[in-house]
Amino acid sequence: MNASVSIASENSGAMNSTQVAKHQSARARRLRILSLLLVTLTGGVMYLVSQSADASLGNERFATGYALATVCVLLALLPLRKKMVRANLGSIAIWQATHQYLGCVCLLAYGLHAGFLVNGWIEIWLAVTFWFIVASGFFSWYINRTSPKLIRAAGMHVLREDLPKKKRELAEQAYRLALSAAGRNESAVLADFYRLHLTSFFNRPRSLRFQAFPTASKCRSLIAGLEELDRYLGNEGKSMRDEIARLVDAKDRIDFQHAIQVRVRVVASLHSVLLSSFILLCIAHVYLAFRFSSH
Amino acid sequence: MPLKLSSGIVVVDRPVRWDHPLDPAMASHDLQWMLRLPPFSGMNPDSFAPNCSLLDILKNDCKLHQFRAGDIVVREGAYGHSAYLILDGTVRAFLEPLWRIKHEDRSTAVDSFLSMLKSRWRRQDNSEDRRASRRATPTDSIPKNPQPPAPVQMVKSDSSGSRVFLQDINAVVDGYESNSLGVGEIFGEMAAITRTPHRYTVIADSECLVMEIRWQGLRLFRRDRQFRDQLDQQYRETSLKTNLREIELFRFLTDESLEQIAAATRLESYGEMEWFADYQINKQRDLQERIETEPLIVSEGDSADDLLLIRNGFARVSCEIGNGHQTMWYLGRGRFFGLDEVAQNYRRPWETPLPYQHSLRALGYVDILRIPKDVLIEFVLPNVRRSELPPVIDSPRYDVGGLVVAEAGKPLIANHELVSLVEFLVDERLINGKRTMMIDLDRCTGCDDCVKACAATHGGTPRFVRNGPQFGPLMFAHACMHCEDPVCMIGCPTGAIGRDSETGVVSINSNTCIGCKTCSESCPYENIVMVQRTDSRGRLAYDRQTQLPILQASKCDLCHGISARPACQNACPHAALVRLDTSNVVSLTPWLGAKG
Repeated sequence: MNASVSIASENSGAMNSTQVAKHQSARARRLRILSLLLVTLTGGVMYLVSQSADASLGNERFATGYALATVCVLLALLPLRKKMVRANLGSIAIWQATHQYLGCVCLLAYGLHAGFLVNGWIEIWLAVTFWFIVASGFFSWYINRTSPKLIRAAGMHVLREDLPKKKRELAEQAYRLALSAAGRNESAVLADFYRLHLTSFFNRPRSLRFQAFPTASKCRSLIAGLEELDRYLGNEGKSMRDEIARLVDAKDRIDFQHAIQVRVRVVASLHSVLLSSFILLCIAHVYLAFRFSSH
Repeated sequence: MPLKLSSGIVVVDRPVRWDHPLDPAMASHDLQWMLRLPPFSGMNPDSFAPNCSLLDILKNDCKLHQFRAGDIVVREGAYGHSAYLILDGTVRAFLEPLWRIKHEDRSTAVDSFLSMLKSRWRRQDNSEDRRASRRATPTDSIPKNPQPPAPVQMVKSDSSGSRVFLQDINAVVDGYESNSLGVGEIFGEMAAITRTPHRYTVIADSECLVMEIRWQGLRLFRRDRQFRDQLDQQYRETSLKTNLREIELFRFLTDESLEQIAAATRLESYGEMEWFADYQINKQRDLQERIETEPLIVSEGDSADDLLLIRNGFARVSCEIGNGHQTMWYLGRGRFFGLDEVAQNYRRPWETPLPYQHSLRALGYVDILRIPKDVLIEFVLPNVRRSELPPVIDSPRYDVGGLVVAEAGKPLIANHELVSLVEFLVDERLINGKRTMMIDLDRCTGCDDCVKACAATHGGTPRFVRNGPQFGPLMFAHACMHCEDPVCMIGCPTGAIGRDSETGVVSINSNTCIGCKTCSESCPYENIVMVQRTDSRGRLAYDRQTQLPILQASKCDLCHGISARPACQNACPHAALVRLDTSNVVSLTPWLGAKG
């Protein structure tokens, strides 16, 4: 009730925030180590089981195959869980983390089951799909961790659905500036530059290369190009050039945010599609394995 | 132009106010009888607008309840929507808590998976006794006067419905401190007016007839001067003492001392109740200009003659630095201002009294109790332990001669990371939020899974926008914050927007919403939007007469009614989205700590 007393206690709470942060990060680290230990342990158990199956003259491929199939089914539960938003089955963040560690278990199970070299066209197809899934999974994990910081570094966060509107606004502003520059002798070069280099930059989608690996090189080269026009510009032209350069930078940042956001979604969708096709191929593989097995 | 009927639309009558009266079974002879009773018989019919006559209000915003001895009328801790007028019989208001209060505040907890599992296995002991937490100190661990056992509640269903009552009302009356209320007295009005939880439990003392007046009706009744004066008078006589008794520092006071303090206490209000309009205008202004337009309650350097208790609303504690003001902290309901200075004057009577060291400004609308320093020094401070008093001010910024040092002095919060966050939260009024949606932009990839989950839970239309004010890596999204003081509820003419008595979740009843836009225009955070109404088959509704779309207000209801709530938080794969209580900044530190 008392402000002073409460502020004093809030003070102590605030002073402890560093300790709380340390405690939380230590807990997260412990949890990560524990999960990795569990993954290693599971791999070890799978290895022992396959060895014992081999020693007892069984087919160890069946033992590891069952383990791999189980892990694949568990991995496929994440997209299903995402659809069941109303179900009280724990937060999706926990499912996602479990999915990532299960992915590592799956890699171990696959190594034990198939190794790195496979025979038969369906198995090769299966192996290629598997390695694509692994690659997309790791890439997805990586970009999920790095993208937010990249987006933040590109300025104020803009919603994906607002990006086209922002781009239109910037294009319009640039067009108006270029028009007004065209009317003056001392800044006519700006209008020419706009016509030659900036029309497509402002009005067309960026290249596929930029969408996949966005960099600021185009923006830098355009701004350098604008700066080279300095010798033809008067004071008013220079301020116009600065304004156009600002718009180029803003458009590049928006494009960067767009590319990063799209990349996250594309990789996630690709991973999901590959996982579905892998499961279908697995079913075919299991059928064939049982059909032609001597065991 | 006539509306072309197609399979995607449906034509209906536009809903209007009082389509759904509080008591549909209210009979006309009951109304006539009520009109003859005080305070309605003394009301001036001209105080009311022709389209909201006294009879209309009684018919639509009131309900008669028949209670039997022991029936629970109002429960402490439940959010109030209505005032209650006793028409016959007596009720008993208990001034101390009868039960332990359960807090369902899952959204504020940042639980790990392991702690979630632990809590599932651990026995639920609901040990959050308000009284215990409020008063527990090391020396209080063994109570001198052990509390009587909690009263046993029973539920009985009969032809008139189910009733909740106490098993042995006489034992409860003997065991707990209570006040009897009789015919003509009103209770529950403060909770309804201030949109806060009831501070006491009321039980029917005998067979009684009680009229429930919902907030919308009460607001209209208050237009009658006589009725308004009666409410204010009653507050001074009854509720003020209850308020003062709840203050921890006052717990050793005798009834006589408390009465003397109550008599000397002044009630004051600052700012406009509908503060959101000014806030929207002022938002465009410069920060310093904005602070200066806030109603000044106390100016730094003024003589510290009173202790101020915030009864309702929020206030900014600031100090002047150079040409501007630095926000030091904010105070919410139940917090004191000026205790440091008053306590200093009490402890060092030989020194010249210190003036206020900080300024206090109203953030929106604030109700305060101003308790004079003299009565405090005479009755309260001699009974308070030294350890409970604030620390001595060794290097004051102000003394009687004015400013001593120009620096802001020691900040009220030691953690510098929090200082600017507090300033941001205060400026954006986010300190009002109890379930504020915060997105950690260092984790959010913009996958929109939260938006999709919200849409999937609410018939395809998301109830929030994943955008909003940003502070560093924190985004405060445009989602209903289920405010401590939900100003959106003030103007609702039908009571369609209300808060759950138990959880405090503010939600809109789509059956009674008439689409008047009052709530969406009054929400200072733009968290309520108007959407076109659809029927159960998803067809868009149009007005039969005007052929215009029928709108209704839409906002986050914290997924009330589904087990996995809130869906947005559950659906975030990167644990970037949380719903936290921003009214208590310190409660954010674990999450901010976890963020690193």
